[in-house]
Amino acid sequence: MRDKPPGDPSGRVTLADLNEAAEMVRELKKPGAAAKFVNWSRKHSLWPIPFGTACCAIEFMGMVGSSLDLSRFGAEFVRFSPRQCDLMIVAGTITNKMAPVLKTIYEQMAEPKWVISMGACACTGGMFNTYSVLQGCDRIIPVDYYVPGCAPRPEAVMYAILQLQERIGNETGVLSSKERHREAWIRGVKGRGRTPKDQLLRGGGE
Amino acid sequence: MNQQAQPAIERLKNTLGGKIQEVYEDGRGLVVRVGLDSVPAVLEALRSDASSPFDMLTDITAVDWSRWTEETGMQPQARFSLYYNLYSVSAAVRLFVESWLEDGQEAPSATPLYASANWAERIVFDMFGIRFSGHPDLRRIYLPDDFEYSPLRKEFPRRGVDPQDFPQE
Repeated sequence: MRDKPPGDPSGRVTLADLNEAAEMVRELKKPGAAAKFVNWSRKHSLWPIPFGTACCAIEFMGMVGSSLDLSRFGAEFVRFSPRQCDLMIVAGTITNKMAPVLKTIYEQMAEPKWVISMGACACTGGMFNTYSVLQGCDRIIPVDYYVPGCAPRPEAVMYAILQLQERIGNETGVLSSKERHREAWIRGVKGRGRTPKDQLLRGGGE
Repeated sequence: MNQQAQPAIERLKNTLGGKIQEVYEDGRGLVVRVGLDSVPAVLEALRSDASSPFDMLTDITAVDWSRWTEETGMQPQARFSLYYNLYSVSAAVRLFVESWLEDGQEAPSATPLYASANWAERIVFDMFGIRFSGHPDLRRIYLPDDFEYSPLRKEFPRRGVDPQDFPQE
C-alpha cells in the first residue's frame, strides 16, 4: 500500500486508486483481522429460535433457565421471530404435516444461519418410525450439529452450541448461503449414510 | 353403571325395538348393535331419553376387521364396525352404539344430532376412509390434505409408503 493518503491532487480517480481499493477488498476477503472480528462477534451473539414441538423443548427451557443459563455462552436472546434469529434449534418430533412449516421458518431466517437438531426425533424420527413422521429434519433443512438423546441433557445441547461457536470462530472468509447449505447437507448426509441424497448433491457419479 | 343403562335400553326397545339387532355387554359396558341406516334414529331416541338423556357424544371410532378371519378363523359381520360412545351427563351412564358396514358403504352422519360428531367423523374418515353422508365438511383432520391413504386400514404398512423411510428393506 502507498504511504500517502489516496486520491489524486487534481481530484480525479486514478488507476492506482482503483488498484488499491481492489487490494483492500481482497484483504478483507482473506482470513484476516476483519473476518476474525466478524466471526468473534457472530459466535458470541447467537440468537436461537426454538422450533419446539415436543418434550425436547422442555429440556430447552431448562437450558435457557436460570440454573443452567445458556446466556453465559453468548446465546442470550431466545427469539420467536425467525427474522431476528441465526440459530435454529429443532427440538421435537417433526410430522410430515409440520415439515413445510419448519422449512418456511428456516427460510425466513436471515443469513448467516445455523441449525442444531436436538434429540432423536429431530435427528432421525426417533422411535416414531411411522408413516406420519419426518425421518429426520435433515431431509428438508441443512443441519450443522446433531444432539443424540431422548431427550438430551441440556448440557449436551450446550456442548453442541459450544462446538458450533468454535466452528464459527474458525470460519475462513464468509461462505455464501449456497456454499453453507451444500456444506451442511453433505456433512449431514455423510453422518447419516444416506446415499441417494449424497449422490444427488455431489452430482450423481460417486 | 350398567344397571343404570338398562332402563334406557328397555325404553329404546319399546320405541325402536325392530331396529335393535343385539344388546350385549363386554369390558366397555353395554353395547347396542343396530343397522347402519337406523343409527340416526337410535341416537336421537337415546339423546332424548326420559331419565338418562345421552346428551354427550364422547367419540366415534371404527375397527377394521379385514384380518380377523386369517387371525382367528372367525367370520366378521362386515369389513368395518363403527362405535358411538355416548354418555349421559345427568345420569352418569355410558353406552355404546355399534354398527357394521362394508368398504365403500357410506354411514349416515351424526353431526345434525351431536356437534361433537363433526370432528370425530372427520377422524374416522381420515384414518379409515369411511365416508359419512350428510357431513357438512368431510375432509382430513390430522393428516396432510394430499395424503392418499387410510393409515388405520390393516393393509397400510406401518412405516408408510415412502421408500426412503425404510433404507434396509
